[in-house]
Amino acid sequence: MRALSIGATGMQAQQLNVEVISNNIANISTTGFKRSRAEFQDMLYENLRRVGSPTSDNGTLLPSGLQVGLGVRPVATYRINEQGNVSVTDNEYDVAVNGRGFFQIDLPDGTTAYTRAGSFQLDEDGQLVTPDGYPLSPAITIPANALSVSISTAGEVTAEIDGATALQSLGSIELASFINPAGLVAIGDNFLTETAASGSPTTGAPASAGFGTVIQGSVEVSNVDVVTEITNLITAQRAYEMNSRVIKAADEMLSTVSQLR
Amino acid sequence: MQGASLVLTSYQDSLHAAMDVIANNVANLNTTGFKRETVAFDSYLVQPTPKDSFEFVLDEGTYRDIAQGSFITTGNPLDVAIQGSGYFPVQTDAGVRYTRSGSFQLDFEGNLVTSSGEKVLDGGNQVINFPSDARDILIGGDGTISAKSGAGSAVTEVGRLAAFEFKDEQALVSVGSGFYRAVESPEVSETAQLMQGAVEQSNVKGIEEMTRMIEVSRAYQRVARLLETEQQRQASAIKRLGKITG
Repeated sequence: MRALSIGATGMQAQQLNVEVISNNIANISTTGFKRSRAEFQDMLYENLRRVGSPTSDNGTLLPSGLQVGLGVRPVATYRINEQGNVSVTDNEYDVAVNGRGFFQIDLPDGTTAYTRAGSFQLDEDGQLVTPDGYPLSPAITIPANALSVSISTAGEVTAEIDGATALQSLGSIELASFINPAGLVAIGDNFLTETAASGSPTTGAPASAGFGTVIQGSVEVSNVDVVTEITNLITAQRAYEMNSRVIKAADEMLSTVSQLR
Repeated sequence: MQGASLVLTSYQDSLHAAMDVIANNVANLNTTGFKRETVAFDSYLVQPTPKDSFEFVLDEGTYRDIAQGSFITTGNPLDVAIQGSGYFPVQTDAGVRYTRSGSFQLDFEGNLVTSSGEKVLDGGNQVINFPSDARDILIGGDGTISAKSGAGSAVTEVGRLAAFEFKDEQALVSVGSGFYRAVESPEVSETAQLMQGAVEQSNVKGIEEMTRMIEVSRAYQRVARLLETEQQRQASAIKRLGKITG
């Protein structure tokens, strides 16, 4: 009875679907979060009667075979890198990317992580860091005597220094882009890292060719749409239920057999 | 004497296949581009003697219901759904395969690939390659892919997705992973419309499958009951015949 194991693959797939959906909903107010979607494929097919096999000596062929599929398997959970809404926070170190590109963050282990979450703060040296304290790369240090900091859409950071009339340039924010951003692997804490599937990063200034602009005083909110997620959740839950019904029916058929006298 | 039991078991065997096919449909309720399948039964006439004739049940074939599935918008610019008949050609290790599932991505070289990494081909069986800085990707109804790349806002054509049409769609063989193997050589469809940012859902309808499942399991129980009655009949026949001769 294949129906039992086929129903089991269906239940497992829907369980994963619910897990992906619940992670999306849990991250509904996570800065820079990109929603994921579980993608499924049908599994192998068993050919009980092969299509196109001869049915007579006169060369007539079977127009369609008898194929039984063996269930479903999850194949990918891919991130949908749609732009999230930009929400104004008025914090002068909050920066949102509008368009392509990721901020580069130096992790304590020396590797570079990529993130869309631009809610930066200052550390004790005045350097721009993430809420976890990891520095933005290339490093930007705000002098202690700066009155205000402005970041242009092209990423240039300038500060108004107490007593000086001219603005002091503090460097520029640089963005990294990937040919396949969906291939980046999420490591938690809003960070993504490079993989063989993402390709190597191309860095550039914001607003230059192939990069989005940066907006000071704003953050990019998650691109999760609650209505869609809840609808998907209902669909997944019903599909789970129906698969369990199949298992029950297959079980009843088997019990019919075992009760034969 | 054995005829009735054998006919009944042949029917039970076929019901097994029917149940498996329903289970596969239900398991693939959420599989992009999946087409539901149904089993067709046939009978097989055997006449061991001129007086006897048995009609055995044969599970003849599975038929794919090629009705259009509904579309769901995903917001991924590389998700493409086909409206109308047609299949995307995909390069796999085993050769060119065809699929309805248009949930595509880019690989690290900028090639358009399926969610399991196989390269998607255009109408001339060529790989579709995007420039590394491609942005604002647009896919037209006819499959033309355009994107902005480099400085400025000039839009360049990257390639063209093709939907291939088959004369006999039933002859396509499912090989799993949403792929079909073609027997005939297909032609580029003129009528298929492509829709960007959406995928075609499976055309399995839960209610229909549940109803069919109940029918199958009831039929199975009925057959089992008949088998039991038949065996009782045989047993009592043997008893009675034994009495007469003894």
